[in-house]
Amino acid sequence: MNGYVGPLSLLLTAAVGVAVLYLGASRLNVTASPLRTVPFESGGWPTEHAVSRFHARWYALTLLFLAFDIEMLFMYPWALVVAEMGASAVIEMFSFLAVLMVGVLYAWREGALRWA
Amino acid sequence: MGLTEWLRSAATRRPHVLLVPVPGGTQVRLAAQRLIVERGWVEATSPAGADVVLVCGTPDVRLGRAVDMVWEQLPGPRARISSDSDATVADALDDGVRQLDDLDAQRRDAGRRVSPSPLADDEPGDLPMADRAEDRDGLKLDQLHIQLGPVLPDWPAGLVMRVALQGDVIQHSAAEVWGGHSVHDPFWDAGHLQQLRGEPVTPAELRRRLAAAHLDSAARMLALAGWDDAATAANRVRDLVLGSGTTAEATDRLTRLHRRVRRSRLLRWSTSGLGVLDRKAALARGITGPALRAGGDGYARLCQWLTEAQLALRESPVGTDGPRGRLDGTTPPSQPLLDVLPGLTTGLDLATARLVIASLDPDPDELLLGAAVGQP
Repeated sequence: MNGYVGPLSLLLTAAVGVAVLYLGASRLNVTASPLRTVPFESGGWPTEHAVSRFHARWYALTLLFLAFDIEMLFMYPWALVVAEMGASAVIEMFSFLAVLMVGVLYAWREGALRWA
Repeated sequence: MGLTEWLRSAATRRPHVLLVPVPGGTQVRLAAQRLIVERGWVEATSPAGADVVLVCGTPDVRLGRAVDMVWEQLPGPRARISSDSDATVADALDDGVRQLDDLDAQRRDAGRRVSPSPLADDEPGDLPMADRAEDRDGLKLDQLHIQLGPVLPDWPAGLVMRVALQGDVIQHSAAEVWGGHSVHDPFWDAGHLQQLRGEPVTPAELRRRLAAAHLDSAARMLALAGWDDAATAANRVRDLVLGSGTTAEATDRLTRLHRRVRRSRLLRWSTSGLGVLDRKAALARGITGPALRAGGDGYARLCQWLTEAQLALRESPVGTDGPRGRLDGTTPPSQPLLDVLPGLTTGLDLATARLVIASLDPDPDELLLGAAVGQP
């Protein structure tokens, strides 16, 4: 039993503290129930739920994932030997990444990453 | 309790005021903005951040319901004031502070508030889910119908645009104007209309009001572009021009503002290419005034406003055109500006569409109160 005195007393303190907070809050509240209101729509009433579905743009996501997954594939063995190979290996890998980034930049400017 | 007293005095020192501009109440709105700046108060951008709602003018039924809705969305403590002439705005603001100070009334109000119940729909108690429609790729996406409505910061008073959104891209939109009551001429065009009718008007008065109108539009667009500093500066010059400031000081400040705006690359990058209306297209839609003369995108129109405001203050001869265009036709000059809005905003996302609307800035006062001498 003496092993549990510490945690039990902590539990009791925590429970009492939370109860005090709740009682204090209910004493300070102006009303019992909180006021609910609709989202601000410039004075208008909302016509639909705002929880709306949107497209995941599967094609764009898939291509991006594929490109960077293959890049990761190349980086796994590279990461094992780069410490011994030195600066030249780092430069080569970063130029490979730069080429990929040019592709991403091109896609971005062409609007392929626009979501809606 | 001492704590409540201290909180109350701290809070009522700088209330946040949500301005509801109403067509016909432009003077009231200008006076309210000037007084809020003078007192060091803050203009709120949404009901959630506001303490006081100030209705600038006399709204009609639909606009009144929008104001009631916004009033319901204000968290307590709150105050509701209205003013229908610029002389009573100061008293209205003081009344607002008095309402905020009245702790017992605020407690009663808080205890009395009920959550708003939805209107009688076919699904009472719930909003229906969004319906789907085609999107740009031929897929079907949810479509939300939103009202960019009368109570919005940096928005023409009384303009309501109903848009259908997919994501944040507008698929189609429709614009209309909700009114107010006023017996006067539209504020910005009053001098020009009087001149057209043959009544005597001093040219200095005409020039000042023209410059102030352009500065007002420019301030709204600058605020929407994210440049609050320049927007505040433009509002300050506008107040100087409309008030009793000397022309020299106003011209000086305006020159500096114009130079700042012209030099900003970020502003040019973020507003160029928006809402392109070249001269041929503008002429075909019947647009006159600065929107026609600028003949280009939103950035060009903004620069045109500032240039024309400078010219107006510099004693150059002022024609019979009002700030939005010719006033001697059969339709008010804001009507073609309003008609071109749905076409220009389709396919844009919300922020871009708001910038385009602000760069055209139709004046609902003209549309409701009639700003054309040729009108019957």
